[in-house]
Amino acid sequence: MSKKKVIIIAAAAVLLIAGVLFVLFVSVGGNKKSREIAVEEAENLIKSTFDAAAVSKPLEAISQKYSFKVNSLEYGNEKDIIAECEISSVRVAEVIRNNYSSFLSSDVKKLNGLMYKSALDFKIEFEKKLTELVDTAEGFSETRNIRIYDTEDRGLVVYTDDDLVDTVYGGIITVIDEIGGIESYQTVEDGKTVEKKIESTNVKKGLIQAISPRYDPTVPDTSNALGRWWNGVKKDFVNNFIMYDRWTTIFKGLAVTIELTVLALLIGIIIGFAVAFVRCTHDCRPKNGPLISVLNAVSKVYLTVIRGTPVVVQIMIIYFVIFMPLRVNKFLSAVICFGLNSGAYVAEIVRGGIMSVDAGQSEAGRSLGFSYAATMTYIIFPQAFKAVLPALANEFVVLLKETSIAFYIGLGDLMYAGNAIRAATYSPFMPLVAVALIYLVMVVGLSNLVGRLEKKLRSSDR
Amino acid sequence: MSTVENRTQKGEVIIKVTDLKKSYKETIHALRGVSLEVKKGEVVVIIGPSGSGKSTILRSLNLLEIPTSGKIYFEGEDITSHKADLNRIRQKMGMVFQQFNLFPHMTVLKNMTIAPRKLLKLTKEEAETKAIKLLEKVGLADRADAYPSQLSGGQKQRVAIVRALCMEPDVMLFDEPTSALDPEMVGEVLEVMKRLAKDGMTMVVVTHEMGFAREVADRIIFMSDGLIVEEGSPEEIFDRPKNDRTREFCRRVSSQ
Repeated sequence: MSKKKVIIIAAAAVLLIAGVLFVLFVSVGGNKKSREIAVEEAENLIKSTFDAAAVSKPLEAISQKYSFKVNSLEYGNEKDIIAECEISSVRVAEVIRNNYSSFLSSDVKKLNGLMYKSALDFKIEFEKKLTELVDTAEGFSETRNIRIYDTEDRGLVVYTDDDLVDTVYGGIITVIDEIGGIESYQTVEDGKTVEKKIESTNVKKGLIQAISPRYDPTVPDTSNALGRWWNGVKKDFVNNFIMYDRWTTIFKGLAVTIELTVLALLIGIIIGFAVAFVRCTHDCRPKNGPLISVLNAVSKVYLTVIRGTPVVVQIMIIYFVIFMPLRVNKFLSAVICFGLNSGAYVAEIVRGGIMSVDAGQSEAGRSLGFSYAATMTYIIFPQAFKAVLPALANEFVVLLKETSIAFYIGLGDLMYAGNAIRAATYSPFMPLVAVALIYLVMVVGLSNLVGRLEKKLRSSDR
Repeated sequence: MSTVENRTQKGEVIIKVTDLKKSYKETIHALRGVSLEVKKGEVVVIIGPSGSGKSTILRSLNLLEIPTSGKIYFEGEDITSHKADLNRIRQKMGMVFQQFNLFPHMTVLKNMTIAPRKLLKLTKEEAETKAIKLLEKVGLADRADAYPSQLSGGQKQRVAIVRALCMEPDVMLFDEPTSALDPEMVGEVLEVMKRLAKDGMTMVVVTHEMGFAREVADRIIFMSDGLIVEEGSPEEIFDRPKNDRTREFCRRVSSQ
């Protein structure tokens, strides 16, 4: 087997793979145009999408407070349309001001007899602050490219950009927080300037309710600190898990995470054993054909690339560069990515396992007349597998955590579910800690099982 | 070679080795030109001090060691040629190792039947009947379902011997089969080997058991420093050694 031959065969293999990928790309991914739509249709579509996204936010019907103006439409090659859309918050002030008077008249009266006298002072101060903030909120105006897909099953779908939704809402949330945050005002009583405090929570509640009718201020505000805290926790819990059946999101995500991990590990084990077989054959057997040399070279490149680059980068490349243009779905892309990734680590584990099997075993197999491959299959692999079983189980645990990286391509796994709830409820603590706890319970449970397995295997070895 | 021709043993030549050399890294010469013949039905015992190359020559016979140069013929076929079908040839040469090398993940019965079933294409029943018969001969029929880790060293080696016999080999190679055993277990293994020799099996044995060599061997080969120094009948080697090194070796082992 000359070096020249190896190079020629390797080059041919690379060309063949490149050719197949190219044909796939052209035939599957390329040149599909969406149907043409009117600017108004695009505008309505975007509006209704943002409204739908707003259902889970503290505000309703965002399109009532913001204007969406589509300037132009561009048709892409993947049945997609890029709409250049101007989003401005021109109507925020209008909405807040409409509710402003009712807020003042109702809420300030509530502040006991004390307030009546100096309500004007308070009103002036409050108006100043409100004007300032509304001006800020109204200043929001941005032009964004919003992507619309012409899908087969769901018709036209706007690619919702969480970041944009957050930005848009951010303006209003700031207003509420700042105004709701006013806690005291000054007034003159008997010729003296007096600092007066107000129930900030009442102000906030009133304002939020004025803007967003769905907010329920009838929840009792318990006066003691512990009660308030517990009340907050309860509200948070309901908001994050019970409302809109959000807990189902978590369990759907958990199912995706487990499926992804199991499938990826299966692929990883298959690749791992194959690569380990090639590497060991190349290193340990004196005479080898050209196929093994080529496969060994490919394996080495594979191991170097996979173990030399971060898995985040790998999944981004595999999905966005390779599979998205081919319209392979996210789940399959993630399974393949983590399978490939895990395969590299499993390969090294298995190689260690094969090396740990006594050389006499292979000699005994060969001396009975088994071929190299048969010796591997019947004698070496079963022993190596037993030796590396705990390490493989460990790899499963590691992989379980690592799959949370699929978040980067927007796959709806456990991590994604937690984050989606966070983005919807604006309360990061509960959903993220819940996700962390689920991972922790699974990892601790599995590690425990691995430990028992290890003990059992060791005792059966004697 | 004169001694070989003088042998009274009848039968064709089954193994023929000519000028076999083996070196590692071009500096360590394990074999420095060894030629020998083994005839059908013959029991050849190779002795010599450690490092003399006796294990290397034995392991070369079924090409577990690849010789650097020289030829090995088995049943008339050049097995050092790259055209030779090694897997088929090895089926005809049973090998017993110092460390037994039983497969720890299989029962005794599975150890014995896997090769006949996969290579000779015997059915499970055929292979098991044959295996049980052989186990009975070595007194281990009741351990058929045991795992190797549950056996004593002597039992392990007896299983290893019958495992090789299951393939119905033409030659049996023994690489120091009793060296890893506790002294009280050496006897049971040698007993099996003696019976095998009596049944007419062609055997090449590397051993330190001089009593066994004297009793069973048709011919003894004394090796030293990668060369065959002397060969002949047990009486010739042990009682009337011609070479100084043979004499020295025999004196040392008999004084132990």
